[in-house]
Amino acid sequence: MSYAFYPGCVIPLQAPNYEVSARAVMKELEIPLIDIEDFGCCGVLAGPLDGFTMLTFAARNIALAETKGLDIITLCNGCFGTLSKAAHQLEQKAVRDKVNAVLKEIGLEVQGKAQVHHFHQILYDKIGLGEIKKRNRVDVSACKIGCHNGCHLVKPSDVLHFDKAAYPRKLEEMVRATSAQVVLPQGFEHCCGSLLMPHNQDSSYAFAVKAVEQKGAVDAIIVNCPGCFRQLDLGQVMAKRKFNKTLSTPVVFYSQLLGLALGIAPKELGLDTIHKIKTSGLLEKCKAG
Amino acid sequence: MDLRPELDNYYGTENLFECYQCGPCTGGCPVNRYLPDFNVRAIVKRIMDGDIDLADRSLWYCTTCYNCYERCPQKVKPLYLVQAATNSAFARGLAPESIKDMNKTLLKCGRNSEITSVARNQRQAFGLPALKENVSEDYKKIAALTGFSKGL
Repeated sequence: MSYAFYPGCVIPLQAPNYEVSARAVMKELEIPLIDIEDFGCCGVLAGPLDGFTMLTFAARNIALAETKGLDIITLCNGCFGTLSKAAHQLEQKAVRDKVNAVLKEIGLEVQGKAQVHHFHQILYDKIGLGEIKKRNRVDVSACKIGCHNGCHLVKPSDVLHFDKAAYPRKLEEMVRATSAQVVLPQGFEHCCGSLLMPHNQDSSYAFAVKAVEQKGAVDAIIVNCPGCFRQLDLGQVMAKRKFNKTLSTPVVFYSQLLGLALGIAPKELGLDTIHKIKTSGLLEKCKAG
Repeated sequence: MDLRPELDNYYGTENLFECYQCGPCTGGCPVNRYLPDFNVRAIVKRIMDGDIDLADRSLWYCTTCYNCYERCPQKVKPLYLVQAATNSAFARGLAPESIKDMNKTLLKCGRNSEITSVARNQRQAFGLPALKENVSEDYKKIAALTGFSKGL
């Protein structure tokens, strides 16, 4: 089954390392992707100002996938949350009618048929951990990992239905499936603070520093959202300037760790550039293992 | 400001009056730990009392982590009440310029930012497909139809 590939706007421009690694992993796992170049912002930016406009922006993207008869696969937690919440709202006919009155003017109609999946849902639910274990070619068992789920992969849990909100466990299971170790179970998840950035930079970075410190001494922190990535990666550079704290834990996407385990070259996973905190230590451990 | 008459306009606010002010929303709020001015429980109370200050800048501090939503024993969905307040603030011309500017960019190019030459080169180096310069005029058209662009 093919999926409409929804990269969002942050990933293609600011976190191409996620896009390139996710595409490489999905190619390896034989998940066919269809690019739809008219996909734009999921609508999340409009949310604080106007909920209905946010919903209509999201519905436009869902409608585009529907014209091709495809379900959507997202990489970004934010897009996943916004599009899933919209799909949930659009199940009501009254809401759908109101949105379609606007979409009609741009030649689209949303039916609420296309399903929205996060990349991790496809890996966990469709591919499965057994298959991932079977396909591992590189031993990464020497790597100690801290997991950062991010908020919008799991919450609101009654709409997203992916994992438990207070203590999500699927990311830990997925990391272990690559043979890497999860050293410290993480209960309460600390928000990365990304959306506080326009209002209070210092507090926003304080969020990020706290999230990094919570993970303890690890070789890498695993994320699956470009917002969390920027906060935790750049946040460690800013920690020195703003709080005189020295932090240097590489932050990598799950797709990059999985790619390494599947035997894909680090260069094809975007591990050599983009990252402010260099990943060379992590790569050494993968080789040594 | 009394928001109660306009709450029907907003998604997920129907359980407001089930709130008994127990407080796990604020207890689980990461923003409250750094910026105590942002108090979800107090915002819900002010909306219940019909006396919320829409010019209060702290209303905008929510990071939408959904902890309050998950923890609320009464399913009040405090996060959606905060969003109802910021939406109403926007409708009255009280939104921060920074948030409006981000949305002006969105209407212009259909993304959160324009494509920089750095991003273009990085994509090329990674062998990723080229992006359309501006995604679509759809965003502008939708925003005109919903009245969103007028508020910006």
